[in-house]
Amino acid sequence: MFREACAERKDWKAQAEKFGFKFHTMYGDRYWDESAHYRFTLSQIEEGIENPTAEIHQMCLHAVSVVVQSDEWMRRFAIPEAQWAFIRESWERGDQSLYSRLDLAYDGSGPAKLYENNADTPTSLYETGFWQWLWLEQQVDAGVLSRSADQFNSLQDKLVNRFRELAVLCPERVLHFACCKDTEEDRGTVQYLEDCAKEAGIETKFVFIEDIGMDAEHQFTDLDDQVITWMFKLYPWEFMFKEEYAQHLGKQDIRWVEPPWKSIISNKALLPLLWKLYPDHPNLLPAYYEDELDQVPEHMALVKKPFFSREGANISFTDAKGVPTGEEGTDGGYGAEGFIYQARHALPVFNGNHTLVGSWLIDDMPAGIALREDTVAITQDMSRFLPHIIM
Amino acid sequence: MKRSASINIERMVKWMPRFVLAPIAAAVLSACGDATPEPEKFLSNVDDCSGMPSRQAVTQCEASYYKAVAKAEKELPRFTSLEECEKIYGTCGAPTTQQGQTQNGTSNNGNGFLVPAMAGYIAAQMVDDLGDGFRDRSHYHRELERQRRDLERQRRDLERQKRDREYSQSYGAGTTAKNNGYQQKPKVAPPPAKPKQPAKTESRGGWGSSAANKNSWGSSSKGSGWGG
Repeated sequence: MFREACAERKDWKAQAEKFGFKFHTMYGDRYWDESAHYRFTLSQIEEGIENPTAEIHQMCLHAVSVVVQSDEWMRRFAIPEAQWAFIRESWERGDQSLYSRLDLAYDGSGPAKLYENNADTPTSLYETGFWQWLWLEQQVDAGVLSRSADQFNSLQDKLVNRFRELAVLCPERVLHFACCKDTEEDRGTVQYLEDCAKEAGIETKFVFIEDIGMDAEHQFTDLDDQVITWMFKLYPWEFMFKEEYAQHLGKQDIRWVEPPWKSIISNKALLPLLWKLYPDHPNLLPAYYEDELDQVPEHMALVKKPFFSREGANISFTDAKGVPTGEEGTDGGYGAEGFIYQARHALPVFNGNHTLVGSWLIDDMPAGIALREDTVAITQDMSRFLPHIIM
Repeated sequence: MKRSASINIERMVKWMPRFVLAPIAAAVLSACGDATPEPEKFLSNVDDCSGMPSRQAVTQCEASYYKAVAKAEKELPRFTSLEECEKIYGTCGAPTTQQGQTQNGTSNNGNGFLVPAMAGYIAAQMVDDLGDGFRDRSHYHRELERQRRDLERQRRDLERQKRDREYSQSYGAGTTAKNNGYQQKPKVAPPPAKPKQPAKTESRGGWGSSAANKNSWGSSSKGSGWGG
């Protein structure tokens, strides 16, 4: 696995505008960074990332089946009791998943290690599925990259096909897409998904999360007072479980993407459970709950993570007893539900950049990777996105 | 090959009204051969169909215009804030309804919603609709034709896949049972009951408070969204 400097396309910003990729630069800082790319061998991709991704997903599904059958585990995961039936029904009914993204530490040689599973609201979808794909095509055409260069990225193909499958399971329903106001990145991601759904022949409609209403029968409605019966939401379940309409969840005839049971996987309480179910698995890091710190091997450096944080917020480093060592992520106001402690396993560093592999799944199929790098050890929402090739 | 086999790149171009407007309108109008109003005026008001060379063409133009407006009303995203709309789409305003747009920029559909500038969308729909009469040899129209053929082929593929799945005992690799008790065969959702039309919304805003609270805690980067 190498990091290689690369000539940038002279017109990439104009192209980003043309294709609606508005968040390529955030607050004046680069987000999309094509000044370099990463190079993998096919073996590194298939054996180092793709196969472990598929296996980890199956392990996570097993963990869900353990949690939904146990009130004790539902409580341990800080899932509000009022939502237990809602989540269990979605699992037993077989509500389908669209996508997930595993965050892995991988340096090209040792086994990839799972940091966390973004199973509810993973992002960087557009940059992965289309934008870095386009970069490769154009750089090959320009002679900057070899014609034999490939990329681990069949995300868009798989997304469209998956939408076709979901449409068979949700016939005669309009698929609403929803995200919060005031976020260009989320709007762009949702637009991309909407485009993929349309390509699959699905009728779609957009509504902002904050604009969703409810009628007397507790059906959710959009701004045209149309009842919502199938919804993709780029908004976390753990937020929704605490909000005003939470008490009415489950009363509607609605299919959700992602389904409610995915909230078990996106919860970092999953990580100690995985370690209990699959101890010493090569792709897992040891992980413990706060009341299990006495089980941590002496001298094991730990990373303390809130159950529900995102993009590196409120993550901190501690010693084996949970005492902070001083390094922390940004404050996003997370942590009220509790923390887990995961063995510290540093990201690989390339030219001073700490690099994280985001490994996508569409349903249960590995579909491609997104590389993020930063000059600091904790990957965050401002960390840059770099493309990759397989040679 | 480990990457998507092919992506229709032109389809990924985000609809940009200013870019679309001139060539579409110019192609439509130039085919008529008459002195024409400026494209923006032509598409903002159905009265400009009167510039067409024959009574039949005027009728076709008007019918196509109303059809395009109806489709725009259905498909364009709606906003309650001009700022939010323009942040994403650049130019926004009151929707052009069948009855027309009021001078002060508020819609006369009574709801006060705002939409992206509709002129370019209407133009593109009209060319789609009036294609045979107005098609020319330009690259743009060839591209539209190619996209129509692609779409038609995809619709046929989708229908065939749907028929295959309905006759099959299982749904295939994407949705069949895996281990761990995950659904043996996922249940097909029944078609939704016909709701009362329109529904009577009694409240709004029951989602989104957590995000609003976190924003107020001064998290440095939350313009970048709620994904992870």
